[in-house]
Amino acid sequence: MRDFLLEIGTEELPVWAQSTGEKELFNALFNFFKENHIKHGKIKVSSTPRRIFAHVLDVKEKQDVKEKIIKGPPLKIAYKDGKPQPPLLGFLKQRRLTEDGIEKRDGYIFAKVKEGGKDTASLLKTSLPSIIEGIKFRKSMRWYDKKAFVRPVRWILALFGEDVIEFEAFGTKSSNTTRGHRFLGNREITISVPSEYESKLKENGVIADREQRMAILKEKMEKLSKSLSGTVEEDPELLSEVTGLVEWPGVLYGSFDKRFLNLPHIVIKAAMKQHQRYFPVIGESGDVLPYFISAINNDEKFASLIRPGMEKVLTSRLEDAEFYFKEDMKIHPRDRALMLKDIVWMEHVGSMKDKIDYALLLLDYIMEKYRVDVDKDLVKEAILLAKIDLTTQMIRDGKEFTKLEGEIAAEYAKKANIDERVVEIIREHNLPRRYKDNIPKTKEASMIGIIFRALDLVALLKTGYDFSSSKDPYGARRNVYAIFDLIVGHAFHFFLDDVYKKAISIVGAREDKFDLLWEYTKDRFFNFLEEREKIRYDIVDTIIEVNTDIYDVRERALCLNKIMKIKPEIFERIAISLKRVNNILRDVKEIKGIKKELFTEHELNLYNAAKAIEPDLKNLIQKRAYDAFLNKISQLAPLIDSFFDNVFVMVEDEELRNNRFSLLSYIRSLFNLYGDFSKIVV
Amino acid sequence: MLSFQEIIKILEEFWADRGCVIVHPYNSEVGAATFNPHTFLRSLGTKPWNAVYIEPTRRPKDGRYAENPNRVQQYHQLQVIMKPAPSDIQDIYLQSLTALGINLKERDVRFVEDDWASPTLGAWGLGWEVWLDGLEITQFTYFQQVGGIPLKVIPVEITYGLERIAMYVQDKDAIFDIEWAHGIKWGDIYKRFEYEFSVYNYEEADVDFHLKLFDFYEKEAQKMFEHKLVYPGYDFVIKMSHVFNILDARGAISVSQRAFYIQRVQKMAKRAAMLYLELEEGK
Repeated sequence: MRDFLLEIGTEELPVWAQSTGEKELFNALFNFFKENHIKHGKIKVSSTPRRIFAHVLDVKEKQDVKEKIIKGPPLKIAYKDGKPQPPLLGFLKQRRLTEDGIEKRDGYIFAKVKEGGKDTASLLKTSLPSIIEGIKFRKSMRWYDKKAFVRPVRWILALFGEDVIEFEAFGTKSSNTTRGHRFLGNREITISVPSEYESKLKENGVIADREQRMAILKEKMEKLSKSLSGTVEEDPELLSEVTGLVEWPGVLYGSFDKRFLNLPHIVIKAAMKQHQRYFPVIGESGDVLPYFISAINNDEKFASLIRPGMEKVLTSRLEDAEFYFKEDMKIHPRDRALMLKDIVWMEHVGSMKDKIDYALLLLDYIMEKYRVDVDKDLVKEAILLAKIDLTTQMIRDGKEFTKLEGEIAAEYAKKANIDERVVEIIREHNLPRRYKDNIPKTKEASMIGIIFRALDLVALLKTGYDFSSSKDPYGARRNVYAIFDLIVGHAFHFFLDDVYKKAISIVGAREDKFDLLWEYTKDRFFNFLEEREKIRYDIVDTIIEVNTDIYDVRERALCLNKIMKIKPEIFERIAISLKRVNNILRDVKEIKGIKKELFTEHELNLYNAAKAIEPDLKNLIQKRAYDAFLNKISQLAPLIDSFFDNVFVMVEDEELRNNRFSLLSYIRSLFNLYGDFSKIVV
Repeated sequence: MLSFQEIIKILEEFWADRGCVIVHPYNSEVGAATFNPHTFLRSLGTKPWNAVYIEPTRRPKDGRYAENPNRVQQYHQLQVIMKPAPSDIQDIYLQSLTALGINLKERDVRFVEDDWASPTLGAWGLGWEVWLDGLEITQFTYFQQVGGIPLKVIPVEITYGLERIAMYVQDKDAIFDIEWAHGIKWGDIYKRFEYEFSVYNYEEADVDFHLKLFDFYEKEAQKMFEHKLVYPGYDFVIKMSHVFNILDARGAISVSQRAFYIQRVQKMAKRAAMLYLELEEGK
């Protein structure tokens, strides 16, 4: 048993590519050993900006040996006059067998052979080029011929115990040498056995193990922040990113002029984190301190030489921000609200000012019609101010500060002493920004989110967009999903189709295009509930047909979905019966009143039972007691079955026939309180 | 302390010693050294090509009336193009910084992923921005496609931001304070120029005139390509791009029109690329 070590040495890998490379390499090696029946111990993969490596422990020298019966040539051509013929001789030679070792049966030659047992080293030699060249990245490049990798491969180290596995991949010959840190150990290093790989690299300025590098960075940063009487801001994503930007985990702190602390702290943090990848240092009160901590790809002893440059870059970004901020403070947020008329909302639809006006109208409508439980005055105030940052220099910067849209509006409103509650609503109104992001804490911010997004969708309709693109170029899918998230998260009750229709009339989009948007929304809602709650789409369809309060649709669908899982047969029977009812009633033009005196026994039973539970059913729907509703209405199932078993609907007698139509229609209307059960796929 | 002109001289000599011919800036406004035919056209085909040149680069939208210490509408790039890319090109590049007296062993140097694309030129490549103590000083790109054509031989393009490097080397806080030659500052030469062009780009440039120019240049480019004159034709592609940048700075192009204008430049750039290959490489 020996260890196997493979290192792919490259020019600097993007951080994302380091993790892709690790995963791909692990899988490729795992499959190689499995397919070749080579036993081995743990496979460790890790990476730095300049290398992806795998260290496989305790790899067997040879493949496992397996016995196997193989089929040779047919007997009739294997021998002639009792003598072995070329087909047989060839077979024997190829398999290294003698005639004694063969069996003759069923018209063929058979032989027992041993398979496997090949040297691991030679199998590696054959397979490694395709293993390495087969690693796939979502974005890759060529640099010398047609083969592609994420960045140029410059060396390959392949050691099986003490032996180099010799091969060539990407035009590079494998060897037993690696390279150290570009500056701390800029030389070729010979590795004689896999076990010394990481320690030798460490001597040459490289901590090859990512986890270890990250832990060292974290510890050093925490220590450093303590000496600055603060704590380093937790940001696992940023920590993992900087771990992928250095081979040697050095850390330094820098400072900036206290005057910049007058800037909104989100701006200071954005200046540090988004481009420079510095960590903010937070004081005891939770405020930003005038320091930063940064990883460096070098020894700390040079910190004093490196620090000034890093400080200068940050200062120039903060100066930009300071300039924007000072300019921005010259105009009150309320005056900015007027300036929104010069900002395009959507071409051929209107300005941001128009959007705000429309939002207020739509808010009025929703509040009046649905009596939603939100503080209308706060929402109104927040709508007026939520988009004012689009007129600010800070947001128009086009770089890191642009991403603070919404938060800058909140900060500036705060500076202008706007009601703190309004400020918080503005701060959150853009959430969720992406799939699976948080939703706002307040109902008020969520309501704004729904209104703005409904308007955006309707505006798209007005531009002539047909909602059919799978690429979602205008973020329609994101908007629709966000609306669902907000409605579900805050239990809003209103008819979404009705809100759309109102928005269409407010914006002045074409009313005949409503179906386009509604069908799109329904389809997305089926997906949404299928993905999030594993609800069958036909069950959602069942309910959305009769009810477009989508919070309620979800509640009902959840109940029905649950019951369908526990006892599917009842509602499948109901679905079949109601499909039958629909068929019978399809061409019936007029439903007349029910005449009890015409009923036969089975009709009367069904009618009486239905009548008896009708008040309950209506009451339960009113109370949104959906479990109870379904339980109650399922009592009708056997009675419906015996109705169909015993009563012939399409009788000659017109009066009798009409009366039966009426009964069926009545029964259907009870089910329709909940949903159109005939839509259930049986 | 190295002056701006000394930095240029050292870098040109450095690359000349490594086989690059020292060529010169293009005599038409470009938004990046990549537009220069020394890079754009010569990247195409299989013929080796190694060159170094400086390029005054115009970015009308970056003008700040000479008031912002870090942003100007014309700055200088030093461009290196090597085709095919040498396998030790990163090391060579780092040596060029050493040649400027920067002791890299005591610095924080990083190659940070930055993929480059120019929709206008139908070009893209992968590479990095090079960070020196957190400051971005160079764009380093392996071209993959130029003028819509996938490249057979991969060139490397190294673009130094000369003002950034000079500010670092000279420890200055503003572009205008860079020592151009001893006793002469960057601002002495360009401050008024920056101010005037900011006024021009943002306020005075005649929109109708430039819209017409764009159309004229497009027609002329097309005509030249029909006559199989790639260099004159490509000249007008460069001019289209600059006129577009002025219109853009002037706020005369809406978001939805943008893509349309870029597409028109790109279409002509692609024709130039195809024609160049046809003429130079006989394909």
